[in-house]
Amino acid sequence: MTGPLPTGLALGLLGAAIAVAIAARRPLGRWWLAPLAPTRLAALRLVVGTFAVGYLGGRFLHLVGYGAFAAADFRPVGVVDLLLDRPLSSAAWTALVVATTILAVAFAVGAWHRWLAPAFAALLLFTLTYRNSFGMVFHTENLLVLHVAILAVSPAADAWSVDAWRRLRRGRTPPAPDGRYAWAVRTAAVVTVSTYVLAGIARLRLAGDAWLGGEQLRNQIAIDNLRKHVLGDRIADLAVPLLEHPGAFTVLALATLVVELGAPVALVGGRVAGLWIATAWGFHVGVVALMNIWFPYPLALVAYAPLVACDRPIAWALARIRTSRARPAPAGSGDP
Amino acid sequence: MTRAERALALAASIGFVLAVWWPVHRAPRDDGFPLSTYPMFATPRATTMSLDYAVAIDAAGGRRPVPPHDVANGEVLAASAVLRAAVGRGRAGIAELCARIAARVARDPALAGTQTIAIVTGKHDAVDLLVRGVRGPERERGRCPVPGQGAP
Repeated sequence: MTGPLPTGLALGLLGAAIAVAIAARRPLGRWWLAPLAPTRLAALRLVVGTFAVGYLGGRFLHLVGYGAFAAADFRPVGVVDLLLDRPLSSAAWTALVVATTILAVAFAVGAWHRWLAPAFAALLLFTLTYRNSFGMVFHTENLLVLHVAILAVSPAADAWSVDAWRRLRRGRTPPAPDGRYAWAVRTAAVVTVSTYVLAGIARLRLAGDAWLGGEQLRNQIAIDNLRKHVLGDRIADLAVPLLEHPGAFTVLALATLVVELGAPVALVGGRVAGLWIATAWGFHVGVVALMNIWFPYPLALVAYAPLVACDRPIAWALARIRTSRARPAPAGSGDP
Repeated sequence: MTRAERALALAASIGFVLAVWWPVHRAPRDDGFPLSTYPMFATPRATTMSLDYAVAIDAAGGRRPVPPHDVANGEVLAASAVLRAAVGRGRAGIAELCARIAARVARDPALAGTQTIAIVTGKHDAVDLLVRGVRGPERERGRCPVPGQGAP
């Protein structure tokens, strides 16, 4: 078959893959709301929130730099297209970036989550959409925005947060495992998986079977590095050596599709999820090696946090800290 | 979990998942943010491409590419979009962008000695240029002096 794969067929494949993946565990409704500890959702908030703080803080000057872009380059998308018909003033834009960064901290530590988290989600959506409103829509921040939005409307600060600490001080008992702590984790997991499948579907719709030959992937990598070369950016380390071996791209093209369209298997959990995560992460490392394009959210493994028990390492670290605090000081180590 | 809470949780879940899948109804290239068709690296292309870029020229005629942070903000795709938009606006757009780049280059120690900025459209074969060092045809769209460098 040549040309784009019909969308219906691709969607059918996807639906079947998700259904099989989930049915392998238990009926959908029970799986979605099966009780989870509040710490599982809280851990996701901590991981995503910490990434957001680091990302916004580390790219602060870069983001503020969009305030100096010419009005003629303004091509609004998404919510920015709905709200603005001209760019913001540099001062207003800088204030927005500052406010978003401050609210990211509140989100990460779980302070006044019920009110500040939705505000952060809205500001993050606007700020990162604005950054994408100057002629180039990037794909590196979509999952971050979506995960924050999901966590913002869930009880993600019922544990391991300033809010939870304040409640404990008032004498309230920590909440028990419940379905209300599960739905947001499941939704974030399905959203992560969906973005990969959507990328695979786009590939099939745009390139069709030609993708599987490997030539399209080779051309993409060549063109991307050409752009970097003439525009004064660093080209990827492995690009030039590999461009001379077209056969390798057939394998890479097939592997790309398998990772993307096979993403729903990660919903099975356990080792299967671990294997898919390792493969998808390797795919992003490959993108760095061949195109020098960085997807920080999956490269930092944060994109995959909803698919695993990300509360375990945090609980382990907290237990270690408590143990070391409770341990009596060795003899002779006291003050003379 | 009460029945109302279950209903709300499921409604929110369905809403988020449907929203993420909504773009599949659009044409693949009709991209958006954060709800995307994720068309990156999927459009079929040849290895030959026409690109707009800026070149720093020194007194001896030496040519170096102007890095993205002197064109836009450090992102190569953003710089490419800015250059493409300026060339699309014609002479006035090119002159305006060229002057802006020249002002930044004047403060960039990595491009010290640059006298002139040229905005160029080049058509290169990626494999020929990257692997064999063979450049394609280039057409100069405009040039401007770097402030304080006494360009002719």
